[in-house]
Amino acid sequence: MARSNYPKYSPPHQQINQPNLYIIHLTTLTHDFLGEPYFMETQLKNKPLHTPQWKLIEAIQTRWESLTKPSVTIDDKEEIRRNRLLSTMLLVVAMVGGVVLAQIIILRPASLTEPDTIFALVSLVILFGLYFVNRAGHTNIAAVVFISLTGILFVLMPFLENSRPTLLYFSIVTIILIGTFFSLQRLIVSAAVILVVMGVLLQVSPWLDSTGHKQVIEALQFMAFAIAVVVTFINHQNAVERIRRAELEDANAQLRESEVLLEQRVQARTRDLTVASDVSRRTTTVLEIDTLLPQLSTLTQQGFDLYGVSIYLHDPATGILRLAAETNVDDRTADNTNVVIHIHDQLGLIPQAARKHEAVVIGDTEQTAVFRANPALPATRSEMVVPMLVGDQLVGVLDLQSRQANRFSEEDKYIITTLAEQMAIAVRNAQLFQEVETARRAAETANETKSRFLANMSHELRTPLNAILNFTAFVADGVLGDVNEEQVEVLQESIASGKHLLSLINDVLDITKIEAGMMELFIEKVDIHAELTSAVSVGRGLIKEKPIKLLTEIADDLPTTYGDKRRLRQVFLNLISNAAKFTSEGEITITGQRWEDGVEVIVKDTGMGIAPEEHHKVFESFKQAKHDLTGTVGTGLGMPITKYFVEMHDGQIWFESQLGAGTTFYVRLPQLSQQDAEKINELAQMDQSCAD
Amino acid sequence: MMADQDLSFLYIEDHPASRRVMQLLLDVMGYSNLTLIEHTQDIIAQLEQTKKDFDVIFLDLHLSPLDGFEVQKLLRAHNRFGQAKIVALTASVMPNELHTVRQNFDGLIAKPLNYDTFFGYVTRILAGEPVWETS
Repeated sequence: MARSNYPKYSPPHQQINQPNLYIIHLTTLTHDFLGEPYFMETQLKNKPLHTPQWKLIEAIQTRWESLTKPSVTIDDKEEIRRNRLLSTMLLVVAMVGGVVLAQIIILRPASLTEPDTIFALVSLVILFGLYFVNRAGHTNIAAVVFISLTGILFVLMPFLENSRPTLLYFSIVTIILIGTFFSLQRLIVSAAVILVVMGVLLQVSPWLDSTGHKQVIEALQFMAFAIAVVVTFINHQNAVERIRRAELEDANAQLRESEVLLEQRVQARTRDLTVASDVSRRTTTVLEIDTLLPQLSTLTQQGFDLYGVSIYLHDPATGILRLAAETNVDDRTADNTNVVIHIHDQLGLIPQAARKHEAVVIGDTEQTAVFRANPALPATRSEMVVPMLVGDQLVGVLDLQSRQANRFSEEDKYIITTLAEQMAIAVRNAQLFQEVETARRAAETANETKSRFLANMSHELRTPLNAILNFTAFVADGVLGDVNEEQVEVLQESIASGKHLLSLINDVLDITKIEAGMMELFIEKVDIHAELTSAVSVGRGLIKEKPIKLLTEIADDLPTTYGDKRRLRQVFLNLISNAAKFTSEGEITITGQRWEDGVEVIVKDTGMGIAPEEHHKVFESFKQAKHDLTGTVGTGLGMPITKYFVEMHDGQIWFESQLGAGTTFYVRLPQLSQQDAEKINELAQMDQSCAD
Repeated sequence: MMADQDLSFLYIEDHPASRRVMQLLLDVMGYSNLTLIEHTQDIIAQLEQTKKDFDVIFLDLHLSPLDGFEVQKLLRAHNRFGQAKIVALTASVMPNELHTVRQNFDGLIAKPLNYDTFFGYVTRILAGEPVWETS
């Protein structure tokens, strides 16, 4: 029994050579009540077990243990110890007392009727009773009763007529106490000596009855009892301390063990976190899915030191899981390029994990029929498949295989599941990036198509006008022969219509360029005065048929600035032609004056005006205000284009208008340096390409 | 402008009506020395065959097999033709094309050509002033 107990508990720091311990552990029989195999094992280490003496002790100890063990389960260790101590005391006292009483009765049967003997018998019965009460787990009740009875006895003793049973009783208690807390040898020796002495004194000596001797013996008994109590107390304290020390050492050992374990776990966790953080880094840095997946599988394979790692991507439309990346420990490659698994396949962990949305593990592939071997990984012993989920959406599965059976612990499962979630996010990001990239390319293509269209349109529309306008002009001018007045008039009308058509085409091309982000300004030095004057002179031509007075108040000191000369002229011309278009009679006043560093141009007409509800439409493409009064038509693009060019020169444009009373347009242009003008142009280009 | 009767013009243009317009324009202004070329196959050989020097070369941009930009490079590199003012005549509004024109040509006049302004531009170009009239 002791041998079989040996490996189960082995405090690493036993002080096996300490003398006080040595004394104690010889008394295996009695100190067993401490419930500590600890001493026993110390003994085993020091002394070989095959001596007959030891075998006897062992046998006694086994029996003793079963006799003193509480018959009910007690959880508290200290309580067990106390219980067993009491059981031992009660049993030993009762047994030895029984033997002594039996001896007295056999030697002198007449004593059976004497009150002392009856008293002793009753005491024995009470002791046995207490023993059973104690074994039933009522330690405190048994102890209190036992101590009370002993105390009563001690008080009553001097009054008893015949003190022999009392003497015996205390002798026995003394023997037991000495034996209990010293050693087996001492127990036997002292028991024998005391029994013999007492027996002789009681049975043989005639002078015992004299009061003097009786008192001497009683004094001796009392002393023995007192010594026993003191020794018991000291030993008890020692034992308690030893237990505590053993427990402390035990706890220390456990602490050290758990420290080692903890350290291992910290290392493992650090490794896992490194892998996880690598994955996270890839998530944010690698957006090409074809680059990302092999990196993730390699990272996982190396990070967790696995046999093989595969990543399958899930296509929700077809339910197919397609092998997307694979890393093996020795770079084995089987023809796995077209490995396709369906989510409803029965065999294998991959479809199972994909369906359940949770990690599935095969601890040992040789013990299961569900395993579906990967031809590239013939030596797989355990496999774990973890779904890659974003929310409840299955992105794919991560398949881990190891050559080691039961490679994947619960903790691994938890970590890899977390890792797979990160991978899922990485993959989803990459997929989204690809979608965006595809969309961007599509938009780019669309933009290219748009600009090709623009190129063709401008060429195809304006080339014929070259012939139409010029041939008509040649004919009208008589270059190709004489023409009469009516013909000239008609041909001039034709030229005017052609020019109008050209201006419409140019407006459409401009707005298309603006909207396609292809409008560029040619920045150069601009003399605002010159451009405004030039626009005014063109404007005069526009109104020469109408009863309109064109007034100008253009200051001579208008600044020069940087910008696109032609586009600024176009701005002024648009304002003037707009005024001309919507004014049937009256005045158009053009003012050019300094405004801060720059210039303010005001074009005021006495035309039809713009209704307040139409105001917001003035600068919107294709939304010309209603003008049924005159039937004037246009593309409605002039003002949006004008506003665009004003803003491209960091300027402002607005208007004031009253229906029927005319409209005044204001344009303010700051003076720009070449760098400023170029910067504004570049920024606008960037904005437009971003807006695309 | 007053015509300088000795000026020699070259116009490379695949659109027949546009060639005719140029011819009439120059006629009206009193110039008769105009060479017209329809396509750019072996363009230098074609030009050398004419045994002429040119003061002003008008170039359409959308030509084939070589486009106007390629032709301009060949002309500019040529020891005789490279001396001429090379002017792009184009209906294009594409910013990238216009950029390239500004970098390499002596001027740009948009099509349709404007009877009223055309010779003013040509005169300025001949005087060494670049003209960029895009529309």
